[in-house]
Amino acid sequence: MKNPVCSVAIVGGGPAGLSAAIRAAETGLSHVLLEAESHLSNTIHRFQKGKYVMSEPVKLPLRSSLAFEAGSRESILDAWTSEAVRLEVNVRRNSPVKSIAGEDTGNFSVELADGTTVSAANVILALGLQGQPNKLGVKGEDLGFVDYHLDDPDDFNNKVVVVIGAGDSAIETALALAEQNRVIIVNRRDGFHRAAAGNRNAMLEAIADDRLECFYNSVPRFIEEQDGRARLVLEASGETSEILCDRIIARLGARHPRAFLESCGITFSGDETTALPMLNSQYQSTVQGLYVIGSLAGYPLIKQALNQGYEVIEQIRGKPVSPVEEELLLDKFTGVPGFATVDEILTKVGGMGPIFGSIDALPLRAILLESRILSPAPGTAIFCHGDYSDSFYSILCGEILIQLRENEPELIVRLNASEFFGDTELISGRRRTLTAIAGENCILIETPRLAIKKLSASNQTVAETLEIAAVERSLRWHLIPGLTENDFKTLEDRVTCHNYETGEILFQEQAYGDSIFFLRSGAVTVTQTMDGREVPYRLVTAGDYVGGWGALAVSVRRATACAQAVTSTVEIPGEDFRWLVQQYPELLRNVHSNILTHHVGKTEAAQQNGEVISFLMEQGLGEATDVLLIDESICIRCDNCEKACANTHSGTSRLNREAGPTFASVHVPTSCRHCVQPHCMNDCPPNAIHRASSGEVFIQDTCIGCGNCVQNCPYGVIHLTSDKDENKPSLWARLLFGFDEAAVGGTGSGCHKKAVKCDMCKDLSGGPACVSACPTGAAFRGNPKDILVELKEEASCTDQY
Amino acid sequence: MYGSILSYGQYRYLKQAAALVLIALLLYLSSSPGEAPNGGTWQGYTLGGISAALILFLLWFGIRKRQYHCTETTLFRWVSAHVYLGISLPVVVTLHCGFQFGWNVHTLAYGLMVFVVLSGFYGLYAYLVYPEALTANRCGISRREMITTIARLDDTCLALAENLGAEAHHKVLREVVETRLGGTLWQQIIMGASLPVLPLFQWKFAGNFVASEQAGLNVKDQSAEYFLRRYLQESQNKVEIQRVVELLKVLNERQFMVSRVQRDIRYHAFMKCWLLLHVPISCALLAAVMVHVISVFFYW
Ligand SMILES: Cc1cc2nc3c(=O)[nH]c(=O)nc-3n(C[C@H](O)[C@H](O)[C@H](O)COP(=O)(O)OP(=O)(O)OC[C@H]3O[C@@H](n4cnc5c(N)ncnc54)[C@H](O)[C@@H]3O)c2cc1C
Ligand code: HEM
Ligand code: SF4
Ligand code: SF4
Repeated sequence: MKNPVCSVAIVGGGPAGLSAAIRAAETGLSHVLLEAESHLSNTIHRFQKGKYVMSEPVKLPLRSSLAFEAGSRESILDAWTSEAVRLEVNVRRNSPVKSIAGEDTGNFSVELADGTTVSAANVILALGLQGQPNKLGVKGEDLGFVDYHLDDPDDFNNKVVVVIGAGDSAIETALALAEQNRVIIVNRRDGFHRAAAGNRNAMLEAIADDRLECFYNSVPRFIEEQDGRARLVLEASGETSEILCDRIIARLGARHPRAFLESCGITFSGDETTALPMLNSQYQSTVQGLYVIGSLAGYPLIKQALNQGYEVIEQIRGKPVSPVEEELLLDKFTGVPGFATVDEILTKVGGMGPIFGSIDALPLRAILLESRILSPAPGTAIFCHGDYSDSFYSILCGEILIQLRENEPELIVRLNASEFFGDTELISGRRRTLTAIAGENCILIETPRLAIKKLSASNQTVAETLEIAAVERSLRWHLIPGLTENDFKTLEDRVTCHNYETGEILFQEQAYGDSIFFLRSGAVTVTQTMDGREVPYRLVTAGDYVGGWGALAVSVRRATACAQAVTSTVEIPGEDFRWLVQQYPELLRNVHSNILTHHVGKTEAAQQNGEVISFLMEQGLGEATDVLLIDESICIRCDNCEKACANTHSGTSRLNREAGPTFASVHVPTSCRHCVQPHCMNDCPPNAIHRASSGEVFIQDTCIGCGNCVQNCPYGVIHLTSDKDENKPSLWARLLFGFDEAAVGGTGSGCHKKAVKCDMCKDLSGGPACVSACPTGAAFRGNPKDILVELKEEASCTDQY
Repeated sequence: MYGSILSYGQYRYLKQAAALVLIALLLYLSSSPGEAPNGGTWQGYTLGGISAALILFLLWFGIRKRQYHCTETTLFRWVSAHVYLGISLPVVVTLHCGFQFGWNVHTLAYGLMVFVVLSGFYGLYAYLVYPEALTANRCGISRREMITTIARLDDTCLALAENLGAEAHHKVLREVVETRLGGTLWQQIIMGASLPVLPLFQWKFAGNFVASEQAGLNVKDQSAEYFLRRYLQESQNKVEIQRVVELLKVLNERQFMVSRVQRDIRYHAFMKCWLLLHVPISCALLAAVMVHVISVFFYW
């Protein structure tokens, strides 16, 4: 039997799908809403109980028939569910969609997991990003004891929980539960190789400390009920054993929805994991009649999802509305002559050269929405040498003057309309190495770093354009300012670009090699062997080069260079470099002084020092811009640093003094390293994490508390917490009885949780409170490069004895 | 990286304190030779004023320590100033009173001051000595790791003892159960310590003689180790002997860890305990000084 054809089938009942279904119901459009779970909005359903759901971005107007205001998870879910009942939305719960067949409007056939099909003229895909979790595939996999996710570890207390899996999510689940429960992790393999290094180490440490048990080489066979508990039978290294437990949580990964979309015939913008489905400005995919909206389309916030649901139904009803975002876009361009309509904006910006020219209308609109339009007066500095800004600028019209050297203001390069600048620091994440000054009639588009990074990750043309520019600018702007066009042309085909992973070797001591490496991003340590031990003595960061000795001496390498973070280089072959040095004597002087400054004696002190440097590198200092260290030989463990942090940050300390490793009395407490390329920024839905112009990475108030950054930071320094009551004990109580305990991370109760981390006290004029509150001078913060220089100086002082 | 409390800013506050003491001495010596120097002369008033100002400055440190928003000057610098000016205080005060003591509130204030200064000296000593001792004792591992190691060794001991009969198991179990870590401040200090606890004095008691005597005291009839050693002497069974040796080894390792944790706790206590006297007695001193000043002005 064939079902009657409805106008639209909506897959997924989250905010995006539900908003579409409600609009369809309200306007009498025949529809069906297919939801995999027994309740609507599974993603929100799984938020922590009582979570305060925020309605970012505040500036974006809501255009949906579904009301939405910031409020508790429960109030929002209740309101939405009753609205769906009131408007008689045709919902089919427990109906996961398996496949969709059909190529054009009017004849889609949607197949459900139970084998039934639904026919629809249009299909809206609003599946969200969570994907369907992989099941255990054994008898009992669907028993009530078995879960495929963990919502709130606090729901479990004093229970026996088995976690199955060995990836990051399994580890995080197990560690979170182990705080208050007996946890057994069941791992199919003999290690945790698939997990990120931080998680893997934390896991192995926990197992070594007996905080949880691990069954290696173990495969679950079946699960059954026994006296109200679950009995899991597994095969462990060939032998059968069993575990009696209260709950089994399997974290075996999820089938990413991308595969599903592709099986429907939808094309993606690239192969990278960050690539998005290709959509037109009405969210229609490359298959006519198939629409993709919500987080699946790359819009990570609820309000965006709601708006899109509404707009797509209007489109299908033949009453298209222009997306609300377009009003915001027009606002941005008010006052810019010749940019009065959205079409004008998109065609003109789209015609502006390789970066914006290569993107489709929808991502272009999204990127412009995140950007700012600037019309600086002539002579204004857009950024200066040494600033910590990291935006990317495109010149809409007018001229920009780039000063290549801080102390030589005459050394200038002129850029014109359609060209871009600020790309160097986009890649390096370091301070500005140039000064940019506005010329006459200049109008600029300032795009945030993350938007451009995402774009170049998903768009080959953009990536290539940036790469080509980077090579030319590395040579002509940074390494050899004044390099002529002709000389560059000769060199252009000779140089090569490389990317190195952390720990990869650029060149090895005693091996022959004479090229030099200019670092575009990352950091490299230079080590020498002394008495059979590798002793690092120098940290080279983006904008500098390594290999000068080998290139000039044409002999074997005197040292080993090893990447300490993901590093990209421009490699110039030795003979070309020697030719360059002849043409540009200043370069030769530079290389010579570099070699002399970094010459080290082979001394005992240098060796000890090298060990400390190696230790610090293992702690991620290679990618840090500023790090807190504690000298344990003078630290009196008074925790005044934590108290100071808590007192200056609404009651919660962002640093944990005691945690973290120690080597030779150098202690690295758990505290933000203000990474060169902050991992925490990568996946923040409201883009709430920024870098201040003085370098601090901080979280804005627009945080929605989703916890992505907590997961993404490899150093475990972000916590979700709500502000504490300012119920401080009196001064006398604190003075006489020491009643001022600091709370470290995550202790605030309440549901309005937000992510908090160290902001280096950027709003206090005297610098970080932790450092200034240390009574013995044991705590210090600094740039790793300076710290290494200081260590070296201390070592050379000791050498004199 | 910034030097120590004492050497802050190339001994800036040592120099200032020394200058202060010098000025006080000159003032004292300038008082007319005929009359006995005391608080009543203009020099005495000046010295008294300086002392009072010093005391207020030293007390203010307790408040400054909690002004976490003031990050312009570091607390480190304040401590350095506090220590040197604190040391200069008894000199200035003694010159102020012209060595006149008696059974009255004035001398009470003096006594309290001396006490605070002495406790301050102890604190300074603790701050200079224990951090390094503590770090060395830790050896790069955390207290939590040490405690989990003890828990693991507990399990191993008990499992080994189970094979050696009920009495052995009971003795080991008692040792495990009776191990105490931490407690009240006093317990934190004495737990597992070989008296006297201060390393300052310990050298006196070093040497084999004391060590062996202490060992004799520790191995009481009750201890599991004593029991096992006897067992070892009496037993003929090779397998059993091996088990006992193994158990003794683990017990030893465990004891080593336990004393390491106890030492860790003790060092922490050493660095904290003195403030429990230093601060309250400073407050008492403030009260006594106020009484002293009032009585001097109204009843002299
Ligand atoms: C912890 C956390 C906190 C957050 N807090 C906020 C916040 O405060 N404010 C904010 O604006 N955003 C927040 N977000 C983001 C927000 O949850 C998402 O933007 C939003 O849920 C996306 O909506 P969606 O409709 O696209 O997808 P989803 O909400 O993920 O909905 C997808 C639905 O599709 C169903 N489904 C999946 N596969 C199938 C299938 N094959 N067949 C049928 N149905 C299927 C799912 O069961 C689910 O119900 C948060 C996210 C997280 C993880
Ligand atoms: C009469 C003289 C003194 C007074 C009134 C005084 C008062 C104080 C006060 C109020 C504190 C604050 C403690 C806290 O809040 O935690 C303090 C701390 C301290 N004092 Fe004194 N003090 C005096 C003399 C000294 C001397 C002579 C020394 C050293 C030789 C000294 C060393 C210290 C030290 C090391 C601290 C601790 C700093 C810290 O942990 O932050 N004091 N003193
Ligand atoms: S929070 Fe973590 S990832 Fe972000 S800057 Fe700090 S250390 Fe780096
Ligand atoms: S929790 Fe982290 S990732 Fe999520 S919104 Fe807040 S800052 Fe961004």
